Amino acid sequence: MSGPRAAVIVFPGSNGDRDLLETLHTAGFDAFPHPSGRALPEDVVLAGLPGGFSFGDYWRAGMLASQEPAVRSLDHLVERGGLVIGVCNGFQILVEAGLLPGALSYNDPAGFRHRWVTLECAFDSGSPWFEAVPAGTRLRMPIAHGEGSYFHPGGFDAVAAHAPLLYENNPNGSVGGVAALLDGTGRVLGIMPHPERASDPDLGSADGLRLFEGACGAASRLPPPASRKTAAFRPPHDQSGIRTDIRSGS
Amino acid sequence: MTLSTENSARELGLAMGLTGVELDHIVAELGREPNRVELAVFVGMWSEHCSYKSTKALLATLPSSGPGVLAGPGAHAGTVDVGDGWAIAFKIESHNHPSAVEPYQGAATGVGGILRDVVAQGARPVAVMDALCFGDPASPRTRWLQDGVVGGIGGYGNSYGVPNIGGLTVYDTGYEGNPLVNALAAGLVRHDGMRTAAATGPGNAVLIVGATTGRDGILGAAFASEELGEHHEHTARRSHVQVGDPFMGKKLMEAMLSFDDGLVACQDLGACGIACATAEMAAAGGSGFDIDLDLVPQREAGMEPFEVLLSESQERFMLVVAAGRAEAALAHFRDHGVHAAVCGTVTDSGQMRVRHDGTIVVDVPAALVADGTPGQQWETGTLPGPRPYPDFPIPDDLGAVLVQLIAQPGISDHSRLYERYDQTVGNRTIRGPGQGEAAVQKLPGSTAGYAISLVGGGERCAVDPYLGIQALLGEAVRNLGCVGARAVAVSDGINAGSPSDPVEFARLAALIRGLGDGLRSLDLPVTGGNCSLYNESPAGAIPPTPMIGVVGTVGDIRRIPAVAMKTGEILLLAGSPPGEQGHAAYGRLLTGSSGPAPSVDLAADRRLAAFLVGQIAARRIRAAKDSGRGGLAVALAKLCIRGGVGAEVRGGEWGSRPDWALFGEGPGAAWIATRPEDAGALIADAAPEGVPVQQVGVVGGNRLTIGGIIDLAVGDLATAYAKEPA
Repeated sequence: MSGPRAAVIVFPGSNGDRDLLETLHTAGFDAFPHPSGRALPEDVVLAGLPGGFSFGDYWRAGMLASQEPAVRSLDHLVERGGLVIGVCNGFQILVEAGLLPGALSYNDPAGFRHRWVTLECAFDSGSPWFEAVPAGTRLRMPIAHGEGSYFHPGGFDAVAAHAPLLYENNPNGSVGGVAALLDGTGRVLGIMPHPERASDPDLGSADGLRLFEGACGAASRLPPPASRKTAAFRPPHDQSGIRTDIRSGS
Repeated sequence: MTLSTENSARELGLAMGLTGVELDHIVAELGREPNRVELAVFVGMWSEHCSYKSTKALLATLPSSGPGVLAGPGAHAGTVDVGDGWAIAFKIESHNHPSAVEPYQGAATGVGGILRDVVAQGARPVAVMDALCFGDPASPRTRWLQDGVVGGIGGYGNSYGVPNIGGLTVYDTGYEGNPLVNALAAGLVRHDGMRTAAATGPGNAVLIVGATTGRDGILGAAFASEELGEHHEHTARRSHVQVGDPFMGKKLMEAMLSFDDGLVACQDLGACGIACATAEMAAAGGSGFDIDLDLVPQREAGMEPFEVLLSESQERFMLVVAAGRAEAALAHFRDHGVHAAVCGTVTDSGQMRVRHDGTIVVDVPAALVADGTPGQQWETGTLPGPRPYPDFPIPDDLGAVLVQLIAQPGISDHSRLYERYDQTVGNRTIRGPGQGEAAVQKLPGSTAGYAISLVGGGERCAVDPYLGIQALLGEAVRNLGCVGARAVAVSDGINAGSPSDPVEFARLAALIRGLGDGLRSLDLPVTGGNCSLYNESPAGAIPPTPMIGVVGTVGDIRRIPAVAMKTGEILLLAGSPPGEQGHAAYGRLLTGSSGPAPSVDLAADRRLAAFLVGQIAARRIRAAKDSGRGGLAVALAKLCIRGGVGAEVRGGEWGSRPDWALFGEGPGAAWIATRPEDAGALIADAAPEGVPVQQVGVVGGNRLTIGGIIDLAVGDLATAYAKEPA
């Protein structure tokens, strides 16, 4: 298979890995599953963290998964220009790992919720993920989570410039209706709804595929993977337990 | 339970629930008295739950073969061809008693258990559906039960990663003391990937994989075969209820489905745990098992042999692996983070032989344990005659009746419940809960698919079990027709009272007789299912309650009707409005009684479904909905609500009792919305197929009007429909 190399990190308890793989293939990636217990290989330009209940999520969602070797190697991928997407549980893991700020807490109103929602693209971010999604675009895709209420101690203002997708009808009490978040590089995307499930008109929507197609276009233009630099793992959190700054990367 | 040494085996056996006839049979077959561990094995394995001793003869009368059937009753899960080399493995299970005691874990482990059946068949789970019956929706106990049950079904399935694609919830005071929790699971398997329980090959290794074995759920099968007492009494039975671990279940599923090197046979460990799997796998293969309990990974020290044998700890499988491949198998499961241990060997002795601490504690013929009950004969009483049904005049305002009907719990919107279930994981769901008359999923890399209709309830079966179950069958076949699916096979979940009550046994027998006759007239096989008896509380038996799951094939998912109808489409009525019989929901609303016996016409349902499938394939149908609970009026109102659009239907079709015609739950009728240019061809095709179809109205506006009889704003209907069920 041709196309940019993309790894889907499979944690014990992931259950959206097959859907993410399938959608990455559809978008043009050479995607493969990668076990979370090993650092990412050097030849990947994109890492996907799928939905699911990593390690059962019997404690805070994503907390255990954030310590896995594959997650610790994401820093290095981002430093050399790679792309990262965390969907649902994957978003929770990215936040727990400190790659994205804030926290994802229990839905308000409480409880697991599956629903088709409409998202609106709030601005043109310049992010490779949004190459095919200009400001004002409305995207339809499902949510399926119990801990998807986005919180930031600084409120919506602190993250508004990095929150490209907002819920039309906030389903979970997220601050400012934040549905997705970009890091300072624009290459790391955490998204609570499931774009990989909105990948085929037969399934009800192909809107989510546009994110992956944009990423594939950008990834195809990336220079070949650089040689490995040693990247020290940084403790992700500040003293409050919640990372608040938005990393700009290198 | 204690296995005290003071009583004789016979006294102990009687105290534990075996009958005198059964004990005599055991002694005669063994040529000796069973020891206490063996006795415990017989108590569990010969319980109604495991042995089907009361229903075996009845179930044997059901048709079970057909052109698409790859595995039928007796397999882990019935398996049918759905095209492209794929098959669907599917089955209904009940977890009624555990859910009454501990609703969250009872329901969660019910889902986990039925998913393991599908995995044991070699199939990757792709769907769960649920069929729930509760008492008064306003009672605090119902709310507690419903919240726990829905939470448990969602908690297990959401984490495991299998979508819930539909089901039903029924409220009836008949379930107040004994709620019903039935679940259907379906999985996809290649034709050549099916697995068997038949253990063969003396010298082959017996492995136990998955969770460790603990003291949970011991003799749960026997608990499931008793009547429930008062609530405060059965809370003491919590130790019989198992605890689910969907994380382990998911890991185990992945490990099981990726393992085939040297695999000879496998079975999930459910009711009666290791005892059941060893006896059934050996019996199925005509072999024997030597098991050493000391090799079974245990959760705690000091477990008695009977505890290890009968533990219903969740998330476990038993495997038979070719001699010489056991080490590789252990490594495979270790790589997947799953415990595995060799705990025995296949023999040619035909004996189930169990060692503990160096001593043989069980040595009995496997076939006797698995399949050797002398059977249980129950007295068949006389079914009560039809209940008097009060005559009543036509209500003045049928519109107001429609608004009331559509707000009835059981008819009204259940999307709040279904929101608690993941419906789309797996990228396969084409029509999920509330999006069609039946759930539809697609096959991998194909535009072909399959549909599943799950229907059920006891309202009409309480009036007439024989006709009631046939009315349900007809409804399932019509539902499939509305999504363009041709029915292939059925899984049934029968829930009934105590067979020791002659009237309850007569109801049970009538249900199964009705099912068999109905299946034969539809040319459909039953490929498996479940019978749950002893569903009684101090308030009495539940209404006899079948759940019917039917799988059908869909030629092209892109041709199935839209979720909703649209302005400008033509409304057609297929079939005839019902006459005077069978208006369960309407009759109950007005009189408190569910009305006379349901009217059934399976031939008409079959013709209607075949017609719909053909017209959908010809792309002539934009929306379709058959008449179900609450009749044609409720069906049309739901179509309007779903599309947020009105409809104008002419009068004159509804006879002298328009209430019966509009609210009656008669067979063979459906609404069809079509484009004006397609209406003529569609109607022309109908007559030769024996389906009366007439053009009766148009779609548009924001009111639902039916002749001069009903005139309602769709918004008002939607408000009534959205009323919370509890």
